[in-house]
Amino acid sequence: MLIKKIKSEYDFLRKEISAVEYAFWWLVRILLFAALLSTIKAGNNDFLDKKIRSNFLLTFAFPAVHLLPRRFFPARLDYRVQSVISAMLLVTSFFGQYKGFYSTKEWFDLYLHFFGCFFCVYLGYELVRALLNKKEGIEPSLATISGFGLSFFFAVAWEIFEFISDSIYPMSNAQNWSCYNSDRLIALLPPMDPARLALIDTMTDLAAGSLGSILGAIALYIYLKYKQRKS
Amino acid sequence: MPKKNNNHSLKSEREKVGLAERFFWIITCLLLFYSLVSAKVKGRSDILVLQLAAEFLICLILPALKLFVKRGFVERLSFKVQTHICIMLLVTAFFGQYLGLYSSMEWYDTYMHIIGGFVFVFTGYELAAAMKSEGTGYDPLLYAIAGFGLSFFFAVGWEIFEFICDSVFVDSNSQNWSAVNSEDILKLFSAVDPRRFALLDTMLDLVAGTLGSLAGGVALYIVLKKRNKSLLLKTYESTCA
Repeated sequence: MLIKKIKSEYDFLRKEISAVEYAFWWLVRILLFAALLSTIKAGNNDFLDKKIRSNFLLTFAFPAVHLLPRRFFPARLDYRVQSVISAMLLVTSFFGQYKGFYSTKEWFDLYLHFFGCFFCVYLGYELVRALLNKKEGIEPSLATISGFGLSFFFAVAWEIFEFISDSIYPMSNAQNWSCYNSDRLIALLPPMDPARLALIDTMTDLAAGSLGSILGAIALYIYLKYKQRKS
Repeated sequence: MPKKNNNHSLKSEREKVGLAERFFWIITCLLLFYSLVSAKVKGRSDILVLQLAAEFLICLILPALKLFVKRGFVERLSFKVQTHICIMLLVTAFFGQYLGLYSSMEWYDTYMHIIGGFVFVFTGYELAAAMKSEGTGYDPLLYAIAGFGLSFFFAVGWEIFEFICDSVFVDSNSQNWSAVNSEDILKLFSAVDPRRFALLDTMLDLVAGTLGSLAGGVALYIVLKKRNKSLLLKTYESTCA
């Protein structure tokens, strides 16, 4: 039965993604594995190995979910979602955490929120398709609105997750409330009371994410309209 | 199943605004006008008068748009949105700002975000319904998701608006970054680094809004499911007749 399921999932995979995408999944896995080994070898890494390990495991989580029966909606999610997850893990875990871009490049986090929300519109759309169990036939405007809204839900959930992390672990600075490496960002904003500085990272993340979501929604609407016309 | 019929019935359902609701709009408008005049006469702060004036105008925007724009999105947008606007203006502008509950009741703002999250799921649904073209299917789950998602768009939009206000106006404390009247909240987060205090109000607002949106999403789905059932039944009966 499991072999039959794997075979049917393989057919779905072949239909939904290209060979290049599949190769990209493995490239990300290899890069994260190499980063994990290198971090463990280096030692004294302030939880970095734990973070990379969990991200490495995450690269297998989504395909594993597809082993569930398709009556459960996560198993119906398009395989292309894994390509987006892989891209996000590559930039956040490999470049951000392992290569240290989060701490060395001031605008890195802001770009990630922008692009993250751009792609979250698509993820939201795929989530809606899986929930409704509809491959086609959702009206482009409604599909776009749903994806657009859900991208804001993801953005807020992420900020709440960071806030909880910072509240549980005393040394945590996930919301960058201490304004580490934010000199140019502070200089860009109007002069403000130092007590407000903790808000800057969170609010600029939300603003960048909003811009990404708006552009993502426009892109998704054009794509869905084009697909509708073609069919 | 003739989908067009279903859509027409859906539209007429959306347009149904009872007498009580219209009465509620008028009461809200009158209360806002009274609070604006009273604030001006009593010489209350300029910023409060400005806020109340803006909120009174917001109360009139949708009816005015409906009066002058007779096609497209505005024409399709249900008057239910005006009821949602009035609920929010009444609790925020009249009770919160004019009667001062924001500053006298510590958890008032948090309650407002819960109520706001809940109400804006329904507003999001109405916006999504107004974007829908005639002749396409109607799925309660899709509309519930759209409404749920859009309520987060409103929540984030609101926080960004407050952040801009606080950045533009020197004395502004919209995001309560100075943790005024937040003793209970500060007690809850007693172990927090004082440099994080500015975040507490904003993050609590987002958490409260999320709870409201979750409850609103579930409620909307149940309402739409029920409405869809009765619409299908009506369509079936009219087809048989």
